[in-house]
Amino acid sequence: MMLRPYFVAESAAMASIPPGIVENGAECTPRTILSNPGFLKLELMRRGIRVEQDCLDPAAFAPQGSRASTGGLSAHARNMFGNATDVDLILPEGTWVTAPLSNHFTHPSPYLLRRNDSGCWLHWDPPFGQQAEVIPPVCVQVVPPAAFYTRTTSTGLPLARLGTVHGSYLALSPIAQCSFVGTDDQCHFCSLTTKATDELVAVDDILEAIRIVRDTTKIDMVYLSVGHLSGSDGGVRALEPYIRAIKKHFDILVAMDALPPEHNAWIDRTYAMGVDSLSYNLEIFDPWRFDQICPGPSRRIGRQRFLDALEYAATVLPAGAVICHLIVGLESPESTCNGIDALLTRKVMPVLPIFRPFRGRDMRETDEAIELETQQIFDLYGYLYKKVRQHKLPMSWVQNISVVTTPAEGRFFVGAKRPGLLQRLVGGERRPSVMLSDWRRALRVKEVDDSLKSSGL
Amino acid sequence: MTQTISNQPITAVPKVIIDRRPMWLILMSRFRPLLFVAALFAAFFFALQLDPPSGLNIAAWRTLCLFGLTVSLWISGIVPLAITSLLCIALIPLLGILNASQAYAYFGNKAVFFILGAFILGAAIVGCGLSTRMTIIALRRFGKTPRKLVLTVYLFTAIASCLMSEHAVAAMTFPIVWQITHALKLRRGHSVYGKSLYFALAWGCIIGGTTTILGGARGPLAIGILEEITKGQYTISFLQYVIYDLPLVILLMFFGWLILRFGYPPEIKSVDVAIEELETKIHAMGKWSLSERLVLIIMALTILTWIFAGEKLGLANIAIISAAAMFMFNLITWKDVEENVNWGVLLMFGGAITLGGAMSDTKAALWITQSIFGDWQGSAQTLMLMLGVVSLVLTEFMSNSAVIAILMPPALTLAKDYGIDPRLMTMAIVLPSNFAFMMPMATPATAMAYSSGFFTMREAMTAGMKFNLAGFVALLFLIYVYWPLFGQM
Repeated sequence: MMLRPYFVAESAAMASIPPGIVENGAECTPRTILSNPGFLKLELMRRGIRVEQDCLDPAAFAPQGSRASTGGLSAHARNMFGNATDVDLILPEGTWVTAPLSNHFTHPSPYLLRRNDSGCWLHWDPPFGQQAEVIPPVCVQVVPPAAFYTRTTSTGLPLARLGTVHGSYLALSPIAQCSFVGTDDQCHFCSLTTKATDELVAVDDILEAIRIVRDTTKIDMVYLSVGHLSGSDGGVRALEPYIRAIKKHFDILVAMDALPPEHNAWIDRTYAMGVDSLSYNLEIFDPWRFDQICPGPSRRIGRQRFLDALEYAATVLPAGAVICHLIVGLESPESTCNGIDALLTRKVMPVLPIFRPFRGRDMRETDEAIELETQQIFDLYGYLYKKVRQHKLPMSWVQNISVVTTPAEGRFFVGAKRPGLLQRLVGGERRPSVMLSDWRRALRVKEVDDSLKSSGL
Repeated sequence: MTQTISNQPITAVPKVIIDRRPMWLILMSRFRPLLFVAALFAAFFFALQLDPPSGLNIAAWRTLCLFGLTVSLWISGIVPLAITSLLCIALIPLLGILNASQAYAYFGNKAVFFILGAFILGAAIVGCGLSTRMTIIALRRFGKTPRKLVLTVYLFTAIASCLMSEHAVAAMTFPIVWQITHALKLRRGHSVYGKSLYFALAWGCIIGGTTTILGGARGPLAIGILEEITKGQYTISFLQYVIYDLPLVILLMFFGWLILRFGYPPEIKSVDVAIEELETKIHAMGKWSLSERLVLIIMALTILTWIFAGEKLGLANIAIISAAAMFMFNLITWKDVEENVNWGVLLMFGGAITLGGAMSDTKAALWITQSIFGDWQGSAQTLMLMLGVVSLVLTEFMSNSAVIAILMPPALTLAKDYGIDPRLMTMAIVLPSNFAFMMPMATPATAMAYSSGFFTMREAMTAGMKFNLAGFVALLFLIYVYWPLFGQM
């Protein structure tokens, strides 16, 4: 019996996990899932977890002698993807996952988080007495909630409004707007509901937010996103003050998620101003589906411009640092595979998030979302891993992401071993340090003003 | 939330250049200068540890080592010329060549102050708009036809470069010539007439700058080194300088006119559009201001004093007094001076004169010339010609002031040995050092003309090579025919 199709959906029908078939014909049972961090990550993202009372007591994570009141579950949970709440866990082999916690969503989850003296354990414990055998639990690490969510900036701005912390990333949206929102051009999977406004978050507020997060959480990358803005620069001018300020004040990597600009010179500018990793997310490779589901990007930017801009960006930024999301579940697996090939040929790293429907944006109702079998999902991640290896693209820029299965985690689906320490160091499995990244930029970028000055004329 | 997104349309993309070469190649090109400097200093310190060659005392040997280091840094251009000079001055007492007071005293040479005064006067001319007005008046008055316009640019830049730095003349004429080519709709890279206009600008500046000691820094520097090495026994006055080089200037000007006249026939029939443009510009400037008139009067008086009383009163003293007069009449502000005075050149001068003095004092210059030319069997004239050719070749690749600083100390020692008038030896070095006709990097005048895009590097080199040959012929004439007339060879 196959595992159910993969949606992280609000359906009580996902109460049980029937055994399935994984690659090489191995049976996918609860035992194999718990022993494979890749499978488990997908399962947890899909089904969420239940937690025992006080298991997520923040006092348990506080330093000795400073334990205070217990906030319980709510202290860990924060909004994400519209209407779910979640908790970050680190599974074996350093695999980060964000597992939804919402009660009506997770009630049927067979995964139960328990705490004892030796730590936190993830148990296979299906509700309603469905357990047929006792399966050894997996030791997991619960990531304490970042102080971020409860703090405000000195100007009174709640930091939770600015973004989220996931894994080693701080995701910020200083310009929470997109001109497509609220129009016929809005992407059908988009969770933004607020109308665009001209107001931006002050640069100082963003710097303060990063300072607060870094004081309490170990993050190594700030992820800035911007939607479609009027102008041909793809949001570069709008984000430039933030990025320059972040680079000036912090030793931290900066990633930018935007839409492609009209001219490649803006991509040069993007790298020059301090962006270490760049995403232009095509989301859907199939041309027809892209046009249907992403009408704004399709009409105003064009699929070919996405591909051209990605190809050009890959010649500017470090290998593996140019990223493109292809959402699994919004097109056929064959099309996603074609997309993987097309992107890798252009030296662009494909990342495959899974479509997560939520209230108000459940595309299954309109048949825009495609229900994929578990085996197809596993095959896609395995295919991604093998192809990335084949193209020798370093996977280090996309790691410790808790909300998506990274290309490197694709190894769990093909039975590949985790690279050794030496291989991780030499083979680019470790994220380049900020110093190296800045050094590369200093060597490669030359502002024309500098050139004129240096000419001595 | 305080900021807002600008709704202004985005027209210009900020220009950034991304170096896509392999990283190892970038590293090599970036660190090559550093490696070169490290190797240079290693060689320098190694040489200091060696025993001096026979006939050379330890101070002279160290001076030679320092000379090698300084020349290498000047040629490479890895650090600014001025910084190399300062480093040189600082190392002289540290190496025990001269004591600190002696070393820094050389910096107070009057050539340094002459150039400072000339820079301030130049700043006043540019600042009040006199230079622009004169340029436009000349072009409007004489440039009625395409050929006449080219000739006017050529002659005007040459004459102006006799009175102020050729670099400043190039800088002030370039925008006006650019406006002319723009008004005439000449196509970059294609228009023969465009080429002739920009070549006229560059060549006029270079040849004119050779005429007097006001044309550039190299003349005063050479005279400064001459005075230091001969302990004030010899100097060259303003008028003497012009008399010594006048035939060469006339020959080169004539040669340049021939090239412009026959090598670049204009493809246009009229320059009326350009003249109208200049008319508009001169009308916009209004009538002659009081400042312009006063600056003109002071400059005229200054030049007359340099010519007729320069030897008696001292060129530097006249320059400084004139500069002070400019301030007294409120014709210039200190801000203008800060913007227009090239302090780097002054520092470079100080270092070069100090090094020249040390070379002479320690007899290092004597030793090096004896080692190279000890067995020289040729005539004094041939020796001068040879040094002139070395100067001519070197100046295409390095600053002409650096060429002077390198060649002058040994050349003056040789002059003494061969009974050559040191003033003529100075002229034999200093005149060819300005013949930077070929390479755009050799002088700002050629660089600016090249930046117009009207001619290619190859065209600049081809025309420049002809000029260098003409310069060589003119130098032959000076050395073998003209200078012997003074009876001092």
